[in-house]
Amino acid sequence: MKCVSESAERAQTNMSFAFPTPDHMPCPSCGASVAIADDFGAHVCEDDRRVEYRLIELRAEIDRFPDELSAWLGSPHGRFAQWLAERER
Amino acid sequence: MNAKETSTRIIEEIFGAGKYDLADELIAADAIGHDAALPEPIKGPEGLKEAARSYREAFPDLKITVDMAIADGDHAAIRWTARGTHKGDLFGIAATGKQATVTGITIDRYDGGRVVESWTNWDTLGLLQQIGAVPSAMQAV
Repeated sequence: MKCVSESAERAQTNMSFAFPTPDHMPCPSCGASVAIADDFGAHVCEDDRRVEYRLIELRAEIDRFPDELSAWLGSPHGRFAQWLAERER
Repeated sequence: MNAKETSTRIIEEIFGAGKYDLADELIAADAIGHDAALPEPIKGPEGLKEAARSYREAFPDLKITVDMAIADGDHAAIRWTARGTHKGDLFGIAATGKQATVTGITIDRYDGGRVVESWTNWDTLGLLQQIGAVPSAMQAV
């Protein structure tokens, strides 16, 4: 025998709650802290910050680059590219 | 220097500007600091320096401004706003490059002109949301 009515069960299932939202969130382009009330539309990214933010996002790729470049230069394609570049210099 | 000024200097200059040596002057040798975000209580000037260093290593450009300071007897309370860019490890979370702004309140108890005990509560959840470690909005199904 059910102790809870079906409508009460549905209400409980459909009830949603909102996680608290901070007053500021980082700009998705440059990471700068922007007051949510100000709207991201009013925010203008500083070039230096945007570049630095992008570099942090890409740091794993940047760290891998020397090894990946060395591996490619040692490959047939890489060796041919070097030969061609030297010839066309 | 009165209690409000001292509490302001601790948060703005030690935590907000990296002037760690100031702790030797303003914090009692047997002081205890309570920060819910840290796993252990902060003990004495060296403990405070270590706590400040850990936050500043995570946020090297950390700046804190005191928005309000009040004092009553041997206690002072300050409300502050901190802003910094996440460029170092924080609670095991690698640098994200995201700048965060959080607020907090610190209550200091004084004895002999130095802080002997402090309690700090700050928007830890807001910080984790801003650096993307936890969601900022969630709907239950």
